[in-house]
Amino acid sequence: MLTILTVCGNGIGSSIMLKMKIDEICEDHHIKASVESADFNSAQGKKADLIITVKELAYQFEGREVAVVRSYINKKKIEEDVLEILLRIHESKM
Amino acid sequence: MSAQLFQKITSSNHAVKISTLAEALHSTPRQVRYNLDKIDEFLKYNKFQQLIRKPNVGIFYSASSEIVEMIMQKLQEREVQHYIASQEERMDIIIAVLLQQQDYITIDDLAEKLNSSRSTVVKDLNKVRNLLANKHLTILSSTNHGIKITGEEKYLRRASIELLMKNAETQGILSEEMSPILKRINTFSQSEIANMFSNMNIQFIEGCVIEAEKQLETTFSDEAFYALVIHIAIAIKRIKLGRDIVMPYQELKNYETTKEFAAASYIASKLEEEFQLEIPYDEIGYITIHLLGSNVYAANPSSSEDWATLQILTGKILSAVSESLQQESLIQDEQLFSGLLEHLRPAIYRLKNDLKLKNPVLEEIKNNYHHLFQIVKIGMVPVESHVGKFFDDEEIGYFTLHFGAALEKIKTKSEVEKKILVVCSTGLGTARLLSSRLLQLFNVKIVDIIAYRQVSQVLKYQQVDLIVTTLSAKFDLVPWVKVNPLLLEKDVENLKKYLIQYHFQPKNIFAETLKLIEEHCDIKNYDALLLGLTKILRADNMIGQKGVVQPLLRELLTANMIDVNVDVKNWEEVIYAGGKILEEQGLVEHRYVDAMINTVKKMGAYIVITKGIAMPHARPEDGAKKVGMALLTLKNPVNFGSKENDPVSVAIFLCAVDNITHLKALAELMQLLDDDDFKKMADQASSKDEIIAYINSRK
Repeated sequence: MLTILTVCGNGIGSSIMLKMKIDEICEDHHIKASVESADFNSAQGKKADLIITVKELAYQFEGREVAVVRSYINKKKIEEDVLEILLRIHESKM
Repeated sequence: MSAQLFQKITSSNHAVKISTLAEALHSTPRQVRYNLDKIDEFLKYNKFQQLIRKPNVGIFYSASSEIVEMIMQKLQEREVQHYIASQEERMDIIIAVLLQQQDYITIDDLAEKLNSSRSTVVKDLNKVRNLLANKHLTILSSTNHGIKITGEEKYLRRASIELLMKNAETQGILSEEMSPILKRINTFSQSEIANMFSNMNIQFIEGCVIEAEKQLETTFSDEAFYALVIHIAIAIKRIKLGRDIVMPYQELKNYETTKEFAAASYIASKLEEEFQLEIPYDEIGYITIHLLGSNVYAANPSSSEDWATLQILTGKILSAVSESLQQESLIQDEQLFSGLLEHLRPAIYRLKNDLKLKNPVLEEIKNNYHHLFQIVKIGMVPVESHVGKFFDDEEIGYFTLHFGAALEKIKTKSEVEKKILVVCSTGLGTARLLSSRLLQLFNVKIVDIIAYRQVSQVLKYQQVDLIVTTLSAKFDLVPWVKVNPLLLEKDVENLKKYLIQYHFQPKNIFAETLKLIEEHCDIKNYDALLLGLTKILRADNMIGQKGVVQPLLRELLTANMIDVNVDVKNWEEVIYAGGKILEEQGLVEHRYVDAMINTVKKMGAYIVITKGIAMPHARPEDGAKKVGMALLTLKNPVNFGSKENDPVSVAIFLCAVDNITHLKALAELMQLLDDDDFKKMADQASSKDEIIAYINSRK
């Protein structure tokens, strides 16, 4: 089971939308994952195999596994941005 | 049993556990232990080596086979010759014999029945006399005839019941699950006590009581059930002996109208048929009292008489005990209240009518809740003065149990919800952030957010489990944890050591209540209702849980939340325009608007979430009052600073009070944003209605 954190500035809007999209993508590719959304402050203290966010916030997570997305809601773009890393981590966890 | 037991132990070449022995001998561990003591006594008396008992290993005996043989023989002889009863057993037998005796019995006859000497019986009788005096019974002595027991019929019966219940317990009978009482009574080693039930169809009586339970729509506790069965059995015996019970006329009249009386009459008619006897009217009244006094588990309390009196008395007990314990929260404990209420009704009947309810765990209660027991005893005074009699310890024990359970509950609850004091240099800003993070991550209560110099002051009146601080300071009185204001991962790990996170699973009462109200009432002010309900149900944590009020997109994006072709020059003006709507509609405080702007300034234009669409928002604690959305279309597109998605021509504002309530609307919004037609429609829309119509068309 992968643990994924989707992060935006406030944790109530974009990151939740992103979480929904990531849930869909994981399901499409049969990846078992628990996806949680968070604002960037609380994301600092949360454990996760992968953090997904936009480039504006990515620098906050230096030293952790981060995937940068161009959009919070465009599924096609999100998939292009995260699928590779998602599959890699998924396989390493198997 | 001793010889058999000894044989089992010596025939095994290793230590045997008591439980194994009990099984092999079809007995109970308690009986095995009892007999082991007897064997040891015997061995000691005959100067043999004692049994060897090793905890958790078992029992064994080491001796040559000749010696074992010899012991065996002696043990067997002894058992055949006579059974040596302990003094307590002898006393029980004496009482049993006396209770069943119509006429006088001589001391010699008693001695014979007991296999004891006359002098032993005389000694025992002195003790028996004292014992019976406590039970309102006396032993008459007549020089020529012997002795005889006298007293009021109800006390005679009570003594019989107590004797049987006591022996049922000693034999481990009450702990066995629901096997017919007849079988259990047959296991009595003392035939004299078993005699009390000879020629008695106990199973039939059990059937009658079960039938009565059904009629009364209730379930008796096991103790009450067997007490009732034994009572009826004894009543039948006594009636056969011509020993009727007499009940004061007025008291009998009082009971005639109860449903318990109806059930008692039913039982009586069944018994008359089965046992071929006539049950007097007073006897039915007596069964009624027992039914009323049977400890009720499932009866509907509001259906009973004296409902109001019982409520008041329960309240008195509750407040007296809470006060002595200084546990104010007990008064609020509804479970405790209804538990006490349910228990009080039969307890009062028992008290009024001198019925005894055996409390098999009384000793444990007294040991574990010694202090509480004393407090509860005092707390019961209002009831005692209401009835005019005193409760015995057995009854007090039951009430103590209710309070004990409630206190345990408080203990675990406060374990879950640790009280935290947040300390930083100013008590503002970062500390607030830290507090909201703590609340999110742990099930804790933030008692206060203060500056360092205030600590000693606050600790004087406030109970604190843990200080969480951003300062490198030491605290003397309370454990403390230093954290980064942003609460980094290592801080969280550190805190976990102190604050084990419990998963909060609220009951669905809140959602169910709300649903019911929605179904049956016209709601005038939804928000006020929500707020009121939250206060009553203390459901702060429940609001927004799945299944609770999650408004739909069209419920949020109503006409007054939409504006089209707004004329603005830059992104800040966009946010002010949308913020104004949110503020005017009472969804946010003004600082929320600034927070939305600060979000963009601090974290960039990530709020421009897709081509040409921005979603300005801030944190719930930035001044959001209710969940809501607003939508603006812009006359002229403006740039927010997003390389990917500028320029923006549609802005959708969001304010949320938690992480969940707005989810449904948000999911709908996403579908809308996925749809290319939406943006086109919004850009071309010349009125609010077009936008509302579009949203409503997509369900």
